[in-house]
Amino acid sequence: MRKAIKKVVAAGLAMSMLVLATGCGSSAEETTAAATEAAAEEAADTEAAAEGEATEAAEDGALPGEGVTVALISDVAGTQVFVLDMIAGLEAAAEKYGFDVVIAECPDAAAYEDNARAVLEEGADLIIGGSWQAGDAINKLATEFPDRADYALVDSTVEAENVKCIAFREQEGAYLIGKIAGMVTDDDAELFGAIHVSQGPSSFKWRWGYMEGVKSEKPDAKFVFNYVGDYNDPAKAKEYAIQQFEQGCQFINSAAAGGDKGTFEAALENGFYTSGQDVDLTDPENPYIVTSQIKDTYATMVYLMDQYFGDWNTENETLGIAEGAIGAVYVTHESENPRTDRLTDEDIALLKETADKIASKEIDLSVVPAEETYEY
Amino acid sequence: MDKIKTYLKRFGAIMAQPVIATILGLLVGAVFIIASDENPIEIYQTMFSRSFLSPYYLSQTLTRATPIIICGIATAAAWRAGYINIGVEGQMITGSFAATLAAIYIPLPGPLLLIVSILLGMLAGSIYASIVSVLNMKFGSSIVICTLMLNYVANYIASYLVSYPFMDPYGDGISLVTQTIPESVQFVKLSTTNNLSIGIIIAAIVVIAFYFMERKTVFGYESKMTGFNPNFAKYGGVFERKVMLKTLALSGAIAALAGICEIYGSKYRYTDNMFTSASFAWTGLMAALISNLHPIGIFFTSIFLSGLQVGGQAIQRTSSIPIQMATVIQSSITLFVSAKLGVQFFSKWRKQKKQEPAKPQESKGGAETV
Repeated sequence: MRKAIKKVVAAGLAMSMLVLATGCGSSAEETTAAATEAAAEEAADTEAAAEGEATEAAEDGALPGEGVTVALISDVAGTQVFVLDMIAGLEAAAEKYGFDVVIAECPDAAAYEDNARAVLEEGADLIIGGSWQAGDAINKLATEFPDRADYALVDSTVEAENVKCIAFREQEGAYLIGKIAGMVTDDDAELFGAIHVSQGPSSFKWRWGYMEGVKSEKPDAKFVFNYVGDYNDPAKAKEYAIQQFEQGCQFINSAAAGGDKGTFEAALENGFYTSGQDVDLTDPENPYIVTSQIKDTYATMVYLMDQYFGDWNTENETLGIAEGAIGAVYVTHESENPRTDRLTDEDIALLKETADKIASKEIDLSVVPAEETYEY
Repeated sequence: MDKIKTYLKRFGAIMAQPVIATILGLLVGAVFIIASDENPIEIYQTMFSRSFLSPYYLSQTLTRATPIIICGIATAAAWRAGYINIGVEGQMITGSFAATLAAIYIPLPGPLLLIVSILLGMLAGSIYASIVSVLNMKFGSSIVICTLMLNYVANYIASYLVSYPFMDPYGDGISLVTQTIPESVQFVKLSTTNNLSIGIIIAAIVVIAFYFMERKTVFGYESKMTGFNPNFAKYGGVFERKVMLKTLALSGAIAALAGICEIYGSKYRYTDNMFTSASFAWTGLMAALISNLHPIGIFFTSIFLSGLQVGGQAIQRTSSIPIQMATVIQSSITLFVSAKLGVQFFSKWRKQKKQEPAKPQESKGGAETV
């Protein structure tokens, strides 16, 4: 009896070994195939890049960024398009100029400074902070070691003068979203919703722009805001969206980062209109996503690196609609997905006109009021 | 001679466990590294050379270890008396936030302000911990649940305060931070290139002071007795409620000091979520549990754990291993060290080998495959 059991076990083990071995074999083949494909693509890319840079390369014999290391201190990328796009933008620029990229993702508040100091020690020539949480670390390093590296900060502004700060005027895009919200809803719609990550001044920029936009269409509008409290919580965002819908919101602006998926799901199930943020999140499967607010970190990184290898200065900038970094899908940025019927051609023409007015400061949104003094 | 031999043997017995556990953890981590197409030996080399083995990174590790060590002691102070305080995080936030505000807004000359603000912070931390003892005495509420829940209360209140009334509107005004504390209260730095400050010395002093308090004072003895057997302690004339009040207040004050060392020593301002996201308190709790609440053990375990975190960051930075995988590698080492599996597994295996010579062939086969 015991022998029989042993035999069965042995046979079973042998079988599983076999399965494992073949499994490994096929996956190894797949990876090598994928690798060769990737290599081929890369080669094609570098060829293209090389052609583009042919004139410069001919003069110098090498790309201008060779031997230069650029470090990005960012939040954990995960599924956050904002961070992923930033990394992609930096890597695209690296292909163009030939510098080395170091990405330091920071899982906690103390890690920003730890990583920033470590990359400086490891010889980075340009250190870019990719969120407001990196601001303090960059500010300190720029003050302590002004000569050891160059510094830049995206999405926030700090005091040190040798830091190139690039912030965004997100309120301009939010204004367009608000105006669209006013257009797609019924004439008697009064209550408008929005779901954000957190309360506080950084989200007030978005909320204020949104409210101003809605009011330009529906002057008596009232607003409901909810805060998910996390950058990646679709379940909670969905619950809030359903609550807001039950209260009577026909349009709910989703600005909850990773939580947006939850809002979109609720929109599809309940039939209210919504919009995403950061990149084009419109979806042919979900006609209720009528637009998406653009905050183009990819272009921003490319722009920053063009400056670094061109005419480097540390004057702070804020980018908005005029610079093409902020906008809204179907208005300032085109999309391959079909537009909802609720937005007519006249609406789009009016929106484009509004965008031009914002760009030319005819509608001036550059100064956000303090939340305490704003009534809504 | 014999004495030295037994001493060495004892030292070996103590060290065997963490060393074996670390090796097992490294082996499990290696599986994940191979899964992400990297060479485990190279990765571990970077990990350890960039956390312990070069002076720059060692000082970074010590900087990160400072609050962890003190949190570990704060945990041990309460746990050894039998009061399961898992609210070190909340006490740390309350205490250090109070100290930061005191340092910013009280107009006093430098050294005096330093002492006053630290004492105020520690007072706030101990009062916050005492809420729990009062709740327990009046209503019999569970210390575990109260301390845990008060963590959230502290963090969200601090979050509100730093978003609105005490926010420093510098830059473009979207950063959730307080003003920086005046230079006169910032701790003296021990390094020019990074944040290592006298905080680490304070941590060492706390460890030593706690070691002596535990062994040489009446209070230390009483609270230890209560931890071993509350009924015995009561029968022996220990006034239990007093011990609880004192113990939790002490734990809260030490927890506050941990936060103060982090702010005064390296960050210079309170940033929203700065302690919860870095989970200093929980790492400290882990260090305390791994080292059986022994203060000297807490000191070294904390440094080891913080080194793993610093090394994990280095892995992510320098290789293609994503941050999540780096965390898995870190955690698998921590898991083995904390589970104390190493020694038990090893001794059991040896025992089995000793018992089995009756069936020589099978055991031999087993030994070869292992």
